[in-house]
Parts: sequence; structure tokens; C-alpha cells
Amino acid sequence: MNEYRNEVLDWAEQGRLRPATLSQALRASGITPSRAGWLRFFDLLTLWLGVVFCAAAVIFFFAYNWQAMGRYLRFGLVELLLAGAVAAALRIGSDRLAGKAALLLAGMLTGALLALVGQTYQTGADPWELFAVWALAILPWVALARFAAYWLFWLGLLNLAATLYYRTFGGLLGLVFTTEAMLWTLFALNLAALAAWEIAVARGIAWLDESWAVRVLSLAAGAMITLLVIWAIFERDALRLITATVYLAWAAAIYANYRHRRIDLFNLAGLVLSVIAVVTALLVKALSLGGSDAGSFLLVSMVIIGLSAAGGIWLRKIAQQARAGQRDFAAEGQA
Amino acid sequence: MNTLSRSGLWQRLRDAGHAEGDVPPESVAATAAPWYVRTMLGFAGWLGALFLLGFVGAAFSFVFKSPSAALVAGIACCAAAGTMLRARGDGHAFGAQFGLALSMAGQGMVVYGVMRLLDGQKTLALFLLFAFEAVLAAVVANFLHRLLCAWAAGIALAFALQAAGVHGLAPAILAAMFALVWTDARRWAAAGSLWSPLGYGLALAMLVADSALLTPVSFWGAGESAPGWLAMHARLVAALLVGGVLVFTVLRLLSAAGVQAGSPQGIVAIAGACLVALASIMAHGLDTALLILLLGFAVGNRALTGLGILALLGFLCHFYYQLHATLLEKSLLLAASGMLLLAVRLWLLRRAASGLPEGETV
Repeated sequence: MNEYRNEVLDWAEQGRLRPATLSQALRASGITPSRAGWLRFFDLLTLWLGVVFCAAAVIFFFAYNWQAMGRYLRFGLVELLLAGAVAAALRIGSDRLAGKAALLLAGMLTGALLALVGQTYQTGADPWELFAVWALAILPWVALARFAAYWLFWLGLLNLAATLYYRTFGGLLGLVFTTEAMLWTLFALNLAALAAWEIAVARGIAWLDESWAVRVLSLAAGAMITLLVIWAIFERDALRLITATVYLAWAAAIYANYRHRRIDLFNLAGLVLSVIAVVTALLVKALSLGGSDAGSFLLVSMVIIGLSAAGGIWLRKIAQQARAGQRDFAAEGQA
Repeated sequence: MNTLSRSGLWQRLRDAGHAEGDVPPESVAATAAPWYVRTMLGFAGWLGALFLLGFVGAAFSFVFKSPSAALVAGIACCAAAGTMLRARGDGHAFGAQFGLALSMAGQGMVVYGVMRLLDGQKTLALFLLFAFEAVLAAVVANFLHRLLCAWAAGIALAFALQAAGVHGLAPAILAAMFALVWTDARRWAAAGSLWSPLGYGLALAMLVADSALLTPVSFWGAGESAPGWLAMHARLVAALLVGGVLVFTVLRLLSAAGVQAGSPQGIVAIAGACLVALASIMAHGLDTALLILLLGFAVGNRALTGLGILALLGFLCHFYYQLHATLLEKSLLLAASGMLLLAVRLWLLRRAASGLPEGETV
């Protein structure tokens, strides 16, 4: 019933709902949570916050690097907690939420264990290796947990590993080249993840069907390619043609997927913003701004305003079409 | 699952006595833009404003050479933008976007003018800016504009209080205003076009104010030779006051849900809020994040709930790097909190499973 949220709030604002019983009306419309909704909220909040806090506590503890604590004691502690988490997960079962939370806990504790190894044995490993090995190690649990947020956490580890990799080797290959390479890697990684995710959802894997997670991936990929294009516009040595082609291909793919296959305004809004940023960069470069040419500044400003206004109108139209489409579908279903 | 039609929903409300009359006609406002479209428009407006400022600087260079000229020009721009935004409303996209960009450019000029004119009186300058932004937020009836002005006003207030040496108060004042907006349906629902954007702006300002609290006192240079008690204990004051707002919020939510404060659930809820307040003394920002999350969920607002979750994650990352406590102490606090949370969950599930009258099965 949340699809009528804006409607009901409009009615409230127009004074059509009795002010005295407004709160009850909102609850009856499903806009504000019921008792059951609150219980579910606290169930989830206590579980996830509790688990994350416990995992963070362990990580913070080992980051403290308590010298008085012997090597075996430290390893023993982490391994005991890790085993406990895995045992809890097996006992509760990965179907239940608490089991998934236990698997997440185990995954985070693995990171603490790996950090402890690096800290204790001074293996000379680079930071990116920690995250890469961490991701590899917990892959089975992530797969077992069947939980969208956990997959995002896992992808986050991969992103971190990639970023740190280029940071580490920055000195060797020169700063400029590595930044570009890093952006390309992150773009490719997140785009591949997005594609795989969408395909999986299309194949019917319901627990991956979380719009917020898809949007995070899409945002990451989109931000990377936008930065790359802007970089290519301003840097002479960049791979301009390739970058432009990839950008256009990406834009076309986003449009096709989120306008026609299924409607997701978030991604389309992101696309609009990306286009505005790229056009702005093109104009700034073309007009060689930096001097005191007042007209150029005004032109760029007007273009930005015009594009964003047009983008807003376009998005609103799509939203209206989508709502009309949903209503027809619902009406058909009831007929 | 039953998908109710629009008229069916109206019928249900009417039967329950919450409404009367026929089904209202569909209105344009019902397709209000979602938060990410507004963010896109806001960001583009800001970018446009930057180039507008560049234009002003290039074409009318005297504006930036003289602070009073900048001030006058800025106010003129804001006034012009205000009339554009009021007259146009939400329907005319280009005018609204131009008005937004013009207003932001004007506000930039005003900030420049005021800060330069009142160079030695930072506190006064910031309070004036707060008043200016608050007036803009109240007067111009445009959602995005209100949100941005409320955000700016909140930031100005936080900085003004810091500069005045009243440390730790800003997060609490902003939190109190935030709670007053979102705990009263007559504000955020029945007068939503005014209070909703203000509420969002306050949430964003709260997060900035919390971060600002962590900057060293010397940055504000309020003329104190030695930091006063408030400056030394800013975090303590902030945590306890915001914690107080959290407890107040929990009480309001309990009464709205029909749960007695003296009942087991009520006691656990209030005790939980108090513990969060205490924990926030060391765990800076925890109470603010939880306040946003709690109220975001209470009003069924996904954007606000999401902001609360992000704020919680941000708090954790920040907590790692804060230097006022050792990692060992932080670790112990997190461990105790984590286990307490899981214990509370167990208690909740036991109550639900035993089917007590006030509870419902999850």
C-alpha cells in the first residue's frame, strides 16, 4: 500500500483527513508501521546491529595490538570466535535470518584473523592482498548465506582490494596511468557484478531482488565511467575514442535496461546526472574556460539548468507512465 | 496479498471515520519526484550556480571586489529567485531550476559579503547567515529550495554556536527541531510541503554539526585563552542532550503506538534509549544516527531510513579513527553493546513466541 503514500499525504495536506485521527489514518493506510512492523524493525535492528558491533569489537580489539597478550592466546581467541560463529550458523541454518547473520559474523571475523596473521608474522604482504585473500576465503559463506547485503559487502572487499592494488603499484607505473587503470578496473568490476546480478534476478533468484543493492552497484559503475570520460576530456594522453565508445555503450545499456526492460528511475536519474557532468566538461574544454569570458560562464550555466530541467521533466513523464501502467495491470488483475 | 485500489483505500479510511466525502480526484502533486530525482536536480542546480557565480565574477567584477556590493547583489538575486520559485511552483521545470541556481548563487554572494564585512565578528556573521537562510527556507515555497536553505541554516547555526563558545549545543538543538518535525503527523503529513523539506534539511545539518563537533576548538578562535568547561566537554554535553531528545522521541513513539511507558516493552525501550545516550559519550554520533533511523522508519520514509543506516555505518568508520579513547576501550564498548542488542532480540522473540497479549507474532 506504500504506492499510495504520496496520495494519502496529499489528502492529509488538503485537509481531507480528520486531523484528530491523522496518526491512525496513516497507520491504517500502511504508511506508518503497525505493531507488527515495529516488531520486525526491532528484530532486524537488534540482530544486524548486534552482529556488526560484535564483529567490529573483535576487529578493533586486534587492531589495538595488545602486546601483553601472547601470540597463541590471540589466535586462539579469534579462531574460537570464528568456530563459534560457524557452528551457530550451521546449527541455526542458513535459511533463517539469524543463520545468515552468523555467517556474516564469520566472514568479518575471517578478516580479523587474516589481519592478525599479517600483523604477527610480518609477511610483507601488501594491504590489497589482505582484502583479496579475505574475499576469496569467505566466498563459500557468502554463497551459502544467500543474502544480498552480504554479496555487496563481498564486492566491497574486491573494490577495496583493487583500489589498494593500484595505490601500492602507483610508484612503479606513474600516478596518472594508475589512476586511470584503477578507474577502469573498478568500472569493469562493478559493471560485471551489476550484469551478473541482473541476470541472476531475471533467472528467478528472488533473494537478490533488492533494488537498493542493484542501485549501489550501478552508482559505482556509473561514477567510474563518468570520471573516466571527464578525465579523457581534459587529458591529452588519454584513450579518448575508446573511452567515448565505452561511455556511449554503457549509457545505451542503462537506458535500454532501466527504461524499457524494467523501469528504475534511480538509474535513469543517475544517467541524466552523468550526461550533465560530461556535457559540462565538454563545454568547459571547448570554451577554454579559465579566462574572464563572462558569456561562456553564462552559457554553461544555462546549458546545465536546461539539461537538468529537461531531465526532470523526462523522468517525471516516465514515472507517470509507470504508475498508469501499474494501475492498468492491477485493474486487469481484478477484472 | 490484496492490492487495494485508490478508491478502495479511500473507502477504508472513510469507514474507519478518518475521512468523509467522495474519492478525491487525482492530483498532479501525487507524482512528487522521488528523493534521487530531487538530488539530481539539486546537484545540477548547485553546479549551475557555480557557473552563474563565475559569470557574475567575470561580467561584474566589482561585485567581488566590494563585500557590500556582493551582499546587495546577493540579496537581489535571492529576491528575484524567490519570486520566480514562488510564482512557478513545481510545474515549470526550467524556471524552477533557474530560480534554484540563481538563489544558490545569490546565497553564495551573501555569505561572501557578510563574512567579509563582519570579518572580526564571526559569531555575529554566522548568526545573521542563520537568520537569512531560515527566512529563505520559511518564505520560498519550493521543496528543494526549502531543503537546501534549511540545511544551510542548520550548518550556520552549528558554526555560530561553536564560534560563540557554546560547544555541544548545536547537535542537540538541531536534533530537537528534527524530532519535533517528525514526531507530529500534523506537521510532516498535514503540512508536509513546509515541514518535510525542513525535516530533511535538519537531518543533513545534524550530521554536519556532529562532524563539526570533532574539529579542534582552536579552529573557532573565539578569543578564549584557555578552553572553557563546555569546550572540553563538548562531546559529553552533545551526547547527553541528543540522548535526551532520543528518550523524548521514544516516549512519543510509544504513546503513538499505544504502548504504556510502564509496560515491559516500554521500559526496555526507554532503558535502551538511555543506554544509547550514555554510550554516545564515547561513541560520538551514535545517538544522532539512531534518531534519524528510528524516526525515518516511524514515518515510513525510505530515504530517511536509508540516511539513518548510512549514518550508522559512517559512525562506525569514524569511531575507528577517533582518538579520544583507545581501541581497547572502544572494542569493549562495542562488544558490550553488541551482546546486549542480541540479548534484547532474544527477549523480543521469546515474548512474541509465548503469544503475550500486547505482542503480535512477527
